[in-house]
This record gives sequence, C-alpha cells and structure tokens, in this order.
Amino acid sequence: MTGARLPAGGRIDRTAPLPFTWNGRALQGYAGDTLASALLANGVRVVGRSFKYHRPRGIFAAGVEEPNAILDVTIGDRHDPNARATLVPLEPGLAAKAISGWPSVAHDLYRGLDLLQRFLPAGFYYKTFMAPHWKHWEPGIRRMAGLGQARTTPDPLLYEQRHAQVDVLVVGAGPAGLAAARVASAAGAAVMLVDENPTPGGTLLWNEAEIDDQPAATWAADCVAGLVRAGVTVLTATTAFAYYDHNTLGLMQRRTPAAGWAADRLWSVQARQVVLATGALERPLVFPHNDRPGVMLASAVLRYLRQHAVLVGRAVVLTTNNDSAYETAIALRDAGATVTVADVRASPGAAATAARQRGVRVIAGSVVRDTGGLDAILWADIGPADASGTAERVPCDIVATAGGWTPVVHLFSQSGGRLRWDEAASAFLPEIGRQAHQLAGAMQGTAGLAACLASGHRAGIAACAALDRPVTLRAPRTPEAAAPTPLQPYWHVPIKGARQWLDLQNDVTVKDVGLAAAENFQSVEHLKRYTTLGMATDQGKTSNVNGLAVMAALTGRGIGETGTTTFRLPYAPVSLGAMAGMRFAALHTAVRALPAQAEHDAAGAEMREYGGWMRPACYPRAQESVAAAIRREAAAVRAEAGLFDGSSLGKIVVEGPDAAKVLDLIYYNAIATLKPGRLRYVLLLRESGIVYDDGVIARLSPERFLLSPSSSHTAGVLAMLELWRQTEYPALRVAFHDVTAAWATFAVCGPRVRDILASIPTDIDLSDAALPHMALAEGHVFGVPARIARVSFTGERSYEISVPAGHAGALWRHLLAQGPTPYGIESLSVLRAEKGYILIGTDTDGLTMPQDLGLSGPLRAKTVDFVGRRSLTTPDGMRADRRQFVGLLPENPNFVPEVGTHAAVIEGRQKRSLGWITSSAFSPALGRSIALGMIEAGRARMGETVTLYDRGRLSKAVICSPVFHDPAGAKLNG
Amino acid sequence: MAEFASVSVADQIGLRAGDPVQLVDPPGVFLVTGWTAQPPNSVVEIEGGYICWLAPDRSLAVTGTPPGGFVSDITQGQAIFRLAEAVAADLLAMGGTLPLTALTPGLCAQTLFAGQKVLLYRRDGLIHLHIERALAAWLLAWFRQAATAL
Repeated sequence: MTGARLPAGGRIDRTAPLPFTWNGRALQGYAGDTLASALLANGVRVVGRSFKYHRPRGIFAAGVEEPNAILDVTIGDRHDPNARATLVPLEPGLAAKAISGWPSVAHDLYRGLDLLQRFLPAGFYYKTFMAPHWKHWEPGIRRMAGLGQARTTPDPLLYEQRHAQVDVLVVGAGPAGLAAARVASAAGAAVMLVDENPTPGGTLLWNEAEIDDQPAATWAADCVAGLVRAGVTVLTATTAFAYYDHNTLGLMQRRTPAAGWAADRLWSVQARQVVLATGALERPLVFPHNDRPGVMLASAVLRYLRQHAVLVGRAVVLTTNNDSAYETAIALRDAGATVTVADVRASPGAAATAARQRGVRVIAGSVVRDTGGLDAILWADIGPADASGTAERVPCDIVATAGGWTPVVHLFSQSGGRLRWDEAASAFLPEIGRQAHQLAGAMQGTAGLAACLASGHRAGIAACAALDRPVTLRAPRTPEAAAPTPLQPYWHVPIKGARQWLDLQNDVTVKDVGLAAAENFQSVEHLKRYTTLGMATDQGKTSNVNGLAVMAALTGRGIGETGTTTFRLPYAPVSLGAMAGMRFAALHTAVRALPAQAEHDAAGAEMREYGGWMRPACYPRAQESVAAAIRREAAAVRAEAGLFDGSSLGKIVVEGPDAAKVLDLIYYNAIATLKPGRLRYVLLLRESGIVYDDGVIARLSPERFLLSPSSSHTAGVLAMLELWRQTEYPALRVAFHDVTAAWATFAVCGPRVRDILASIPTDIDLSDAALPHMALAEGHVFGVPARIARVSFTGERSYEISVPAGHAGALWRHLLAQGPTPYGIESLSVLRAEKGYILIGTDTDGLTMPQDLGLSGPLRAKTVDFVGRRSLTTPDGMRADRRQFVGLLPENPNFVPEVGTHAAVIEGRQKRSLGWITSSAFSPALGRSIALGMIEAGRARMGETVTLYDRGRLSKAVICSPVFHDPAGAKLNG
Repeated sequence: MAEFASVSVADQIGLRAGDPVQLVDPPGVFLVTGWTAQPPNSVVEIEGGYICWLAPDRSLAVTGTPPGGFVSDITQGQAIFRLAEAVAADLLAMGGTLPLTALTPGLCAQTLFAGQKVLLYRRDGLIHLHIERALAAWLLAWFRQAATAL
C-alpha cells in the first residue's frame, strides 16, 4: 500500500498542519484528519496484531465499525488505552502507539502463533487450559492477546456527565437525520441532533449528489447552521451508545474540554420522541486471507479519498456483490488509481457499465479468491464466484470489499424492538418497536439518497404528530437516481482449507463457525460465546450477518430462522471515567459531616466513615497509636468522665393522636404504656422476625414521641414506618418527621458526670428524682432549646444533651472544657462490649431474632400484634438450637480473637462450628480480652469451653454471660 | 452569651465569595404534615414566607410563622443553596435529571441531585436547593468542582 495525501481536495485544512507521533515516530497530519486518515496518509500499514494469531492488521474501516485500529492514544493528560483511530480527531501533540505485538507491532515475535493455527481452533482455551486452573493461564493469554494498558496511577482528569430532556432526539446527522431534525425544528420542538462524526452530514460529506440544487455537503452545512440558529442542540463527535427504558438514551460526547477535564462527556437524554437515523454499515465480502493489511471496506476507501484526500492505494482490486462499490471504483479511477472490480453478479448492470466507461476494469461473475503479501497486499486472485475454474492474479496494493449494507439496528434492538430478516435487503430490519421512536433512512433498509431524505422527512413529521405539533414543510429535493441492480447475497468463497475471516477483531474464521456447528453450538448465542464472534467492543458490526449466514448454511436453516444475537449496550465503548463522572475521590460517596466537625478536627480526632457519617473513631494524642487511644479513652470513661458526639443518631418525631397506637403496631416493644418523659429501649423487626434495628423511644407528650434509630438505619426506619402507615394503617392520624440533622447530641458519662452537668446553665431539673435513668426532659441550656436524656450505651451514668445543630460547636467546647475525655466510636464499642450491649448489624445478622438476643420478654408481654410477630413463633423461630448471644472469655487473657473467628466443638474426629465471634476487644476495665458471639444454644452452654478457630489458628475460650462489667447495673446510677 | 453562639451553615461549610452557589438564611424551615390540601409540586405563599409541596399531606414551610398541622422545626437541619440563572442550567444538568425549564415560578420538585435528596424551586429569579445540613459541605465541594467545567 502506498497510501498518500492527494495534492488537493478533501475536507482538511492544509494551512493547519498537526504534528503527532506513531510508535514514537514523528508524523504530520492536518486539521480535519482523524488519527486513522493521518496514519493512512503517512503510509502506515500495520497498526495492530490480531487477537489470537498475531497476524498483522491494518486500518479496515473509517468509522465506529473499525475492528483493527484500536490504539493507545495520549494527548497531554488525556489517555485512552483502547481508542478507535477512526474516531479520534487529530490534535497537535497526539501520541499514538500500537497495543499489541512484542517487542513491536512491526516485528512481533508472537506471530509464530499463526503457524500453530491448526491447534488453536475456536474454543481451544476451553478445552486446553482446564488444568491446573484457568487462572494460571489467563494472565499470559491476556498479555499475548494484547489490549491497551490502563494507567497505573489515578486519572488526573475529571469526567463530566450531563442530563437533558428534549422533545425530539435525532440520532444520526446523515441525510435522513438532517431531514427529520429540520422538520422537528420547524415545528418548534426542543430538538437535539447527535452524530458520531466531528462534522454532521454523514455520507453527504462525500456524496457528489445535489440537494435543493446545492452540492450535498453544502446543503448539509446550511441545514446544520439553520438548525443551530433555530436553537437545536447539535452534538458532534457524539455516539449514542445505549437506548434505555423510558426513551432515555446514553450519549458519549468527545469534545474539547475545560482545563482539567477529560474530553469524554456522558449524556443521559430523555426524549419524548426519538428519531433513529443511525444509517448502515458496509459489511465485507469474505474470502481467503481477507485480513491482510490493505483489505478495506470500499466505503471507507471512498471516505478517506473524498473527506481526507487520502488515496489509500494506486492499484485497487474491488470485490463486490452490489452497486454501491462502483462509486468508490469511479472515484479511485478519477484520482489516478488503476481499478479492477470483481463483481459476484453475472450481469452487474448500469453501474458497472458506467464504471467501465470511466476506465474501470469489471470482471462479472467473479470474486477475489485469495490475496498475497505479508504486511501489505501484493496481489489478489480473481476467479469465478463459484470457485470453479482458474483465477487471475492481479497485482494490487489495496483490496476493497463491498458485501452490502447492514442497518445499524443496535439502538432499536436495545430499546426492546424486534427484528426480522429481510431477504431482499439481505439484512435484519426493524419490525416492531417498543418505545416512542420513529425510524428513518438506511437503518430501516431504505436505499438511495432521495429515499433516505424522504424517509427522514416523514419520520420528523411523525415525531411531531406524536407530540401534537403539526407542521408543514417541503421535503428536501434531490434527483432520483436510477434503480440499482439488486444485490446478490454472497457470504464467503466456497473454498475449503484457506482461512476466511468473519470477525477481524476477535479472529474468528468461517472454519471456526463450522466447528461450532459440528459441536452443536448452533444457537446464535452459543455460537457467539463459543467462537467469540461479535463479542467485545465490536459487537458484530461488520461480522454479525456474515457469521449468521455461514451458520445458517451449515445447519440448513434460513438466516431469519437462525436469528441474531442480542445487541448489547454499549454500541461503542464508553470510558470508565465517563461512567463514573464526578463520583470518585472525595465526591465518590456523599458523607455527612457532624455539626461539630471543626471541634473534632481541633481535638485531633481520627475521623472515619460510619454509616454514611464521618465520625471520630478516637482522639489519638501525639505519638499515640489508635489502639492505645482506644484503651485510654475507654478507661477514662470508667474512671472519670467521657464526652461523645452522638449527633448522627437518628431523630424521628412521631406525632399525632394515633402515634402511640401506630408505634405499638410496628415496634416489638410495648409503646402505649410508656409514660411521658420516659424512654424505652426498643427493637424493630422485619416481617420475617429478624431484628432490623434497635434504638430508644422517648415519649415527649401523650401524642408526641421521639425515636432514636441507629445512625445508619435512620432513613430505612423512616421508610419502614411510612410504608406501614401508608399501606396498612392509612386511617391512623400520625406524622413522621426526620429531624436528625437539626439537632446535635452529645453524651457525657462516667463517675464525674454530675460535676460536668453542674457547669451547664439550664432550666431542666437534673435530679435523679426528676430525671432518673431512661427519662428525658425538654427545656433550655445556655438559653437555647434543649433536651436532656438519661440513657447509656456505656453502662455509666450518662446524659445525652441535644441542642440545635448550630450550637453544636459551642456546647462541645463548653463540655470539653470541664475535663471529660473525648471518646470515639471505637472506644464506645469497647465500652458497650464490656456491658454486653448489642450493636445491630455487628452482633446480629440476617437470621437474628429477639429471643436470640435474650430479649423475649416483650413477645410474651405484648398483647397487640406487631411487625414480625408471627415469624417469631414459627418452628424455626422456636428451635432450641438457634444461635444465641453470649460472651466468650479467651483462655489467654492477652489474646483478642478476631471478629468472625469460629467457636467449635469436637464431635468424634470432626470440628463442628457452633457459631462465631461478633465483637471482641481488650477490656481496660477487666484487664483482659473479651468477646461477644452468636453460639448455638449458647445460653445453655454457659461455662463450656470451646475451641476458637481462625484460619488455622486454634485457641480456647469459655462461654459466659455477655455482661462482663457491672452486671448489676449499679454504675448507671452511680 | 456570645460564647454559646450558633454557627451558621455558611461558616460551618466554609462558603467563600466567588463560590458558584450562595446560601439563604431563612427565618425558619418546618416540616409540616396535615396542612391545607396543596396542589402537587406547588409553592404557595403563606404568612411570612411560603410552603412547598413534598408529598401527599407533606409540605415544607419556609417562614418565620409555622403554619398549622403537625409541625417540626428543622431550621438548623437544612441548608438552602441559591444558584444564579447563569450557572444553574449547567450545574443542574450535571447533577440531576430535572431541567431548569421545569422549575417555573410556583413549582417545586423533590428529586435526586448529585445522588442526594434535594428540593428545588425557583424564587426571586434564583434557583433554590434545599439539602440536609450534614450534606451541605459535601454538596458545596461538588458544586465547586462542577463549576470548573463551565
């Protein structure tokens, strides 16, 4: 191939040369080039190595269907390890390199694999690499296959996502799409027009026809300019890659971004009407050694010539079964190439005659039967299409192939639409649509410019009619072309032995499909997975129909009967960064901040995320480890006093005449009997009887309650309450209000707590008589509204003081100044473990019922029904061997067993797990290690010794009460 | 008691001049259940402010005078961001599916924005966005980053 830039023509800006590199070699292109056209203009032939056999591969297509030119592209900070060269606009400083071939794509030592092709049939890896395990083979195979290498450092760029709603979304800005968009725009609809190419117009950009007495390209440019003036959003270099439910489409736009942002921008567009004008892709004829660099789609050859002024070859053989190739043949001839056309049809008709008159040699009833050359095409054998007789060897540097057109029905199929095989068009065409869309142009099998324009115009009118926007507009006019000679289906050369490639990206040959058929992988879905035909990023764009036709012939079925595989999204690859958008690093997950965050930071807190909140784990001092800080803080609470930020605990106000009744019907515990000013520890169950959450309910007044669910369950509890109220008890008068974020809550506890409370100016009576344990009072502190509750999660005398969130910092600073030790979640976890207080989700799991926790009292005492009640008395719920919540004292007091460690007993010669440790800690109060766990029939095993088993390490522990510290609870009032 | 002063949301989250959003300091924000029947997604003027429809029988009042019904004061639990028209369309398009054109005066919408539950409406020519106070700092960081794309 001697691809070269012509001295004139094309839609490139010759005054704007753009330097770029290919495998480190400095080259030059022009503004308006794609990377692919620039490489071709510079005579680059081999751009990659094939997936399996490592055969040299060149640029094959000019658009999204390119299967070979997948390259590693870097432009400044932007890096795409698997970019399609045909979709990358050339930019100054662009650096491209091949992603396959070792040590280089030009001199690939793996190419020896091609000699072993007899031993590497389809599915060989399924049969060959079973032992010892696929995982041992996979890395090497992947390395040899050659794929782009993702960067190992974080991507420094930001990725933008956009949402939009429009009346009409037109996908494809070729003749049909433009015709549809101008109608929708004229109707006054909000229109978005998208096209995957940098310049809208599609084939009009290289079509020599006239529309409305203008050259087609001029008409397209004027049309787009008019649309923009009318307010139509025109997105170029934008691929519609997905068609979701509710007429929502995913778009991937490649644009010049703001500094620091990636070129890729992901759109989610919901349209009231969609016009699919996605066009058609040319499919190749299949012949022996049709994968050599220099075998290209005829339409791509034409596009490179007319759009980029690149004459990809001087001596071109063109093999075809339809008329569309003759435009390419004539254009090549006019550009100075010698052209030989091998036409499958015995009587090619008027197009062939016209070509002959322009100096093109046409051999009717023939096909390319083989090609020669190593890294480039040197010759092609042309012979009768039925493989009879002898072939003529024609020297050439390009073989262009034209096997007909495959409508781009991917989006239609993704939308739920059904396809049918059309014999006349030799293509799968849309049959029944499922969403609010109109179809236009070549994607529905329409052929010819005039027909496509008319089809788009009709689709635009139909979309507007569906929107109740009638419009009158003259359709674009173009001279009617002569009716083409019908295409003659021809799927591959009927020659055995030589390999004929169906799928260039996945290295699948006709022989592979034959093997799949022989081994009974005849379903199209089996065929796809067994051979990889049409998989991965290609999704069968150029191979699907040919592959199905081969399978149909092998199994004696029609192509329609054989069917087609599912067209999966994305239609074209979408970068992971674009899918993530801004959801990474600090913005990956929204994390709530405590209102006293600044105070915790000032105190040196080790902040960690717990249940969606950033909370202090502990407050390490200088040079102090986290573990040491936890022990110090836990000990200080027991000995002196501690200060804890509990602001994240849920606060749900329940108010109304039926508030008590509703809570009684939902919660496990009796609520109606709770007196105003008092608190009760409660459990909330699922209908399965499983404990969902625990917490405290305070009765503020006869008709007003305050629930305090655990921090991470607040939204879930609120949703559950609303669900039950709205679905089961809609007549009951009650409201649930989440006020969590409005209040800050600090717990002060420990033997010195009353000294600290004495420093707070308040109108609340804090005497034990007025405010006993499990009581709450409302009033003021420092003159602002406040609540003070006597409730403890440490086992110490404890007061929870709540003030409006804005006062959090002030109250924290005041309390801290009184000398308590601030303690964090990890320290609290030690303190509560010493007391055997459960932590839902830590000590419980998806099987835990209240009776497993030793909390069966309410079940016996409560007379009204509640959520989950029935499940508690099922045979499973009443099994004697259910796992129960107990304590475990390790034999070695300095050994803290890890959470998840199993407790086992020896039965015969086997170990049997009785359960596992759910919490463990070194207890400063006890001076030894402690653990909590769920043990089979645990309460009946008190005093028994079990073997702790943790990944092969064995130790002993004694089952005991879960309450290790102050079992009488004296310190709650101490 | 100056030492027991309340910290504003703006101070808490470190809002700066030049940020793409500003904060509103309302006289009060109240969750209301059982207020007068209100058309879905409507914003209705009431004494001292206005009230936004959240769900059937559920509203959010922005006022110094709470209306009738079951009322909970969440003034200190809310942050109300205010976006100028010039940037609102772009920022809204980047964060959620609700288009600016849907926010005509007198209408409001609860929706997800940047993945978080928010209330949006247009008032005084500006887009108002309510979010839980605890998430305000995170959302401000989101706005700051998003604005660099504009």
